[in-house]
Amino acid sequence: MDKQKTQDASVFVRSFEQQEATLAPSVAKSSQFVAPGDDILSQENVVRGHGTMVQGTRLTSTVAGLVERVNKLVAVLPIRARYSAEVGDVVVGRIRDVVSRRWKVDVNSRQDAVLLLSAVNLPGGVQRRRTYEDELKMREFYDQDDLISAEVQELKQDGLIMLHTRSLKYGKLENGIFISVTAQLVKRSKKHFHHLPCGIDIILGNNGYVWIYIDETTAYAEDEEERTFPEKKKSAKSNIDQTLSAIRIRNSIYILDLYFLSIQPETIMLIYEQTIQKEIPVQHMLRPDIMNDIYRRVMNTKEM
Amino acid sequence: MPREELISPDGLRTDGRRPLEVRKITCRMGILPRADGSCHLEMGNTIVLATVYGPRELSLRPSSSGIIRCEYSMATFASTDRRRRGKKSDRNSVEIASSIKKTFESVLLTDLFPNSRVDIFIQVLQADGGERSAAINAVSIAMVNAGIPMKDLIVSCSAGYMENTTVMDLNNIETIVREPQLTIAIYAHSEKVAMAHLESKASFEIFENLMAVAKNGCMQVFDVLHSSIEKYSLRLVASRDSISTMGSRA
Amino acid sequence: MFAVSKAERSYLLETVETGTRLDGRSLYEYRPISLQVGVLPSASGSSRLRLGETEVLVGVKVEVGETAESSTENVHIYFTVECSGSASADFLGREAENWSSELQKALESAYSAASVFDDERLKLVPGKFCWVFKVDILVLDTGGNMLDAIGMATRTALSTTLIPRVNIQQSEGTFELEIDDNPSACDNLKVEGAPIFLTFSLIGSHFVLDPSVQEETCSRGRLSVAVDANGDICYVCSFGLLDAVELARLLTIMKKTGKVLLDRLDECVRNGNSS
Repeated sequence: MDKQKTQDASVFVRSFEQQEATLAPSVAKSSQFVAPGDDILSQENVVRGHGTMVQGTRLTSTVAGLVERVNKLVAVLPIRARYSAEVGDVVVGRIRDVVSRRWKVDVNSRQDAVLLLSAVNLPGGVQRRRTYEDELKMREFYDQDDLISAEVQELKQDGLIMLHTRSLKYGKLENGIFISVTAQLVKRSKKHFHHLPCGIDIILGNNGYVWIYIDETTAYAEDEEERTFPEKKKSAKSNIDQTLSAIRIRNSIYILDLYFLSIQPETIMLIYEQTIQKEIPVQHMLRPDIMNDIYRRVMNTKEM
Repeated sequence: MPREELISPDGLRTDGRRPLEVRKITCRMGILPRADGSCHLEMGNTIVLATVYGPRELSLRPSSSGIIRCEYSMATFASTDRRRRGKKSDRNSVEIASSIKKTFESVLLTDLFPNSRVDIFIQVLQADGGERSAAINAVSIAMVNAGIPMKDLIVSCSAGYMENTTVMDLNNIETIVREPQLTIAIYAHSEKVAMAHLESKASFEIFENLMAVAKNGCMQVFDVLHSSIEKYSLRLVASRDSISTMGSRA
Repeated sequence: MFAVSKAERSYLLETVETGTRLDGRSLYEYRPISLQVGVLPSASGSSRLRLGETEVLVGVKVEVGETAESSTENVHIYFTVECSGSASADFLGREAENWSSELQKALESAYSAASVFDDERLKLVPGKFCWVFKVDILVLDTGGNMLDAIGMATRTALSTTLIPRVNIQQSEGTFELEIDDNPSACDNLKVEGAPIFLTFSLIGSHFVLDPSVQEETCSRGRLSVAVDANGDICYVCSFGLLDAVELARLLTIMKKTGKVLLDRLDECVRNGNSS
């Protein structure tokens, strides 16, 4: 019989109005806002980018957002939408189906991405020919529902996303927590694998899928004492602490997504540090009053 | 049965509106965070919830452009008499769903998402007339919320002719009378008519009149919806950029 | 279906083993609840409730109906549960129907006791006329543990339901019922006997209260219990192996938690009404 110290259940009930009364920061509008069908103010000879179309003599928007101009290129990016891929993006995906010589992968996009059997590293030589045996063993490699990290290799004419995992850093994801956020909140950057100061690793997929995990190899490398006794098993206590840190990171990301704040290692740590500083236990982090409080504090202390 | 007076001697309607006045519209976007787009829209006492999923994998044979599906249903508590009609399979619901699907097929840029589908779910939470219009307006906003590219914003409004007056945006009492009623959905900028639905007989002159009044109503609706979208979007943009450390965007 | 990889499943199991859950909650903790009452002006009582990511809307209609002569009950209550297509991307025809009937059945069982609405004021003409409560439940979003969310929303909607006063006139064996139209001449329905549900999921060898979708997907068993404000048990339903000692222990936790939940819900409704 288990004896939990957390016997007492805490219950938190409040009315909806409180939730919806979150602060709306004032905006300094730097560029033109457009909704679908609105005219985009522009000079002659512009290059028409995403989110725009020509209707007769008018250049109009097809989504709601701010008009972006880079030289002659005019584009409107939707504020939130499904993931739209670019070659070189790092994504976290979930295997949806295993079909002949390919995996179909959910990457939060308009259609499932494809990972060809020829686009993964197989044991025993990178350039080895794929045999029929390999095809039969595909499920042993990545099975349905498995999470993987991968890179966008190619975009087909019809928008189909082709992935590859031909690098040691990509592959099946284990020992961690998955969370899905608005893809537009994750910025494109050179780095997607982050080792956070609190000892937790994250993969910030460009597609808004995030993997939070405890990387045993880096955990050992960072900790000098552990390194001198490599055979020493980590105590159960430190395991629990790590798990709690991972959950705290997960909840920090959840809060960023909820308040539509940019999701990057710095902002995640901002929330994380704030909750540590205020000694908020991890199980209270998602209480609406506490989230509001954290949000307000972060907005007040930002000096970035 | 003596008919209730729909327009008072001072020219006011049963709910105190003037003939060419739409009901109060409020809309909230993104209220169901797990959907791609959602909108809770109130037009007077008519309340509609629209949810959009997609574009997402179409697990059927390949198609060169996106496919739209639409489901419309009325909650059992939506109307005062708790009528059972309004289920998804109900003929009335199927008809409205199909007309909404067709309306949006014309405006969504489906060529941009081949082999994908967009699912629209509409739930009428309270019916006080003009459900078709409210549903279309709510779907429009949910589409914007989901970031699905469209040629234009579709807006909808109804108009009716009663007691020698043309009125816009009919409420339930005004819908019950068997007088000519027109519901239209138009492209807000080009003013092209995407959908028109007339009930009861009308002379050509009255029809033209109804069309003009409904269009006028659509423009009033558009003003409200557009400013709601702008307010919502700018708030999100401000949040997104508030504690960001890197350049303005990728 | 909600997808969980083998790796996620085993991490969830390991974490629960240490006494926490992946969203940071302890094993016997509910997700935050948001509540709003009077959301449907045309209904006699209504509520909208969000439990974590699960959201439901409940409307109550009160009518006077005829009843069988043998019946002694003051109230007949009917439930319909509709899972809106918007609730989940994968809510398709058959699946949704099965869910609906399962939830509907649970409500009917929990509210089947005659003592649920034990209130003299609800008495009309026994064996002739009785009150008919029609409770319509619409599931807007499914984020796990629908039953508990529905139970709390239903009870809250009932607690805000107004019962009009009725004048009964008897003449030569026929009864004339006259319903007072005055909206101020209404009584609030007493809901002391109305239960709420509490649900445990079995994850590995531990029970967790108020399971999320992920936890539901990974669970090997389930225990749902309905309790009312007096602490009486109104409904029990369990799947998976459960020994009697364990059951008794869980029931104690549920009774305690149920009391807290009920108090908080009532408090929230009271505060909402006062402001």
